[in-house]
Amino acid sequence: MNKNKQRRNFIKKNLTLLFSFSFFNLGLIINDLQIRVLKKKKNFIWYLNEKD
Amino acid sequence: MIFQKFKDFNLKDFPVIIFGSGPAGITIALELEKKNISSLIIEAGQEEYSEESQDFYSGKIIGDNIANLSSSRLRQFGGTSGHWGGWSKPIEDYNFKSWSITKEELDKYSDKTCSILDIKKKFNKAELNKYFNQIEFQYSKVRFADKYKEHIKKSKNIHLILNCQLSHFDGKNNNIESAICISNNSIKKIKSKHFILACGGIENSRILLWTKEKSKELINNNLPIGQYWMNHPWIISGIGVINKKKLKEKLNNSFIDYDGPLHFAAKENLLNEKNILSASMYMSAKDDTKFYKEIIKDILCIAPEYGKKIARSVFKKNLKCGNIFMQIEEPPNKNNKIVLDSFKKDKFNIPRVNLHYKQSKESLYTAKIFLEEFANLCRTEDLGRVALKENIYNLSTFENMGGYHHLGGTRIGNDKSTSVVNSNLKMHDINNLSISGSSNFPTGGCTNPTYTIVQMALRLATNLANEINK
Repeated sequence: MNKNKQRRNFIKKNLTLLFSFSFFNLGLIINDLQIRVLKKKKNFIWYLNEKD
Repeated sequence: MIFQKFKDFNLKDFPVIIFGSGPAGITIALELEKKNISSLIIEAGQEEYSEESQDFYSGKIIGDNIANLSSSRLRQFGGTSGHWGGWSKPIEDYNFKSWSITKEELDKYSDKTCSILDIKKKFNKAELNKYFNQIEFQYSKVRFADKYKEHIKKSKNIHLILNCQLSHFDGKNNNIESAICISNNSIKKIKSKHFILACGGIENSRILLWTKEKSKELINNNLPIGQYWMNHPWIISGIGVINKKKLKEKLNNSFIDYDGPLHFAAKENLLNEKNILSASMYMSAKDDTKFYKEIIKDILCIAPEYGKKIARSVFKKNLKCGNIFMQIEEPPNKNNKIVLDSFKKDKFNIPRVNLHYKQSKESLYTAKIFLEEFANLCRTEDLGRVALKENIYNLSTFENMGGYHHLGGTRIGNDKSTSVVNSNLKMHDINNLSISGSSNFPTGGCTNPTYTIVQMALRLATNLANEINK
């Protein structure tokens, strides 16, 4: 009984850790994949993000 | 002591004669004085510059536009320190790669340099990412003539003669026998054991080139005197808005928060990976409110979502907004050179200079890549937004607003085909002539040169004192 509880806790802990890493990575990827858009205004070329 | 014209001194009292009373010349004299060595400083100008005096500095620029040769330097006691901006900082570590002296050798003189320039020895760097550092300058208010006039007046070991123009050197067998000077319309032959030429980034070359013509046995004809001349193109490369709050968060405790401009420099990684030269950028400490509003309006027009976001930050005073200024390195180019005019001479019959100068494509490319990388960093990390000027983006041209840093012409080095002085700043093949100033820089980096000029002058004085006291 105790062993099973230990196993469950172990899996729960690691899954949480695994998911938190995934979200962290996803955040980074989204950040890196900000799509660059160049727009010209009055002789200046602005470096913008698509969502800007 | 200070004299308004040449006086017949007992020249044996002065083992060192220094030509030029700018930052380099005065620094050397002060350092020699500390080691109990007397020196005579000879200055062509007066206590204050005049139109007539500045005319000696006029010359022709052949090629691309650059600041006028007579207004970009001052022929007066204290030299060009009479109108310099005071921006002081050591040059970047990686700029020493092609120098025949090391950064460590110059760093020994940092404390004294800061004391001469009345600045704090505080040049922090905050790492922004693998390509950029936020950097810190110190701003010197020292005008060398103002700071040291009373000291020199009272000094027994420093004599300063004004209104005495060095024409050229005379000598043979690798030795200068006398310096030919003009004072009060008469020619003076000045003899000494050691001569130091510290007349600035154009006059040093001019006097040596004239010496080459007048005293044919003295100077090695193959030395590239006047060649590899450089400056720091100073340009507006773009505009931008930076969220200072976000920048502070990113840099954590290392953010450099001071009164000066927001200043960033390229790290060595950026130079190596993108194959560019050194460069730095800054945004002024003071905001131009009208221009600020115009930029925000433009952003609202082309990027409404971001515009709305930053418009809110305006009231919180979190934004830095305005022109992006850059100072860029120029590669040493043999064809950018100072030569003597074949026909035009000044009042003392010394040929005027012609400066052959072409802007460098590498510098333009550097401006684009530097700012593009910075714009990408701001965009992806939401630190702000940056725009490149169209001419920089298209790599068509740049407008140099400066050209006040005259570098090269008597470069330091071991190879006589590409340098004029050795690592001790002694002219190749001449035993008793040292040269001091930014004309010695073999590469220019992108940092204002005076701090390094003073460091090098202190080093020269120390080495010379050791030689004299042997």
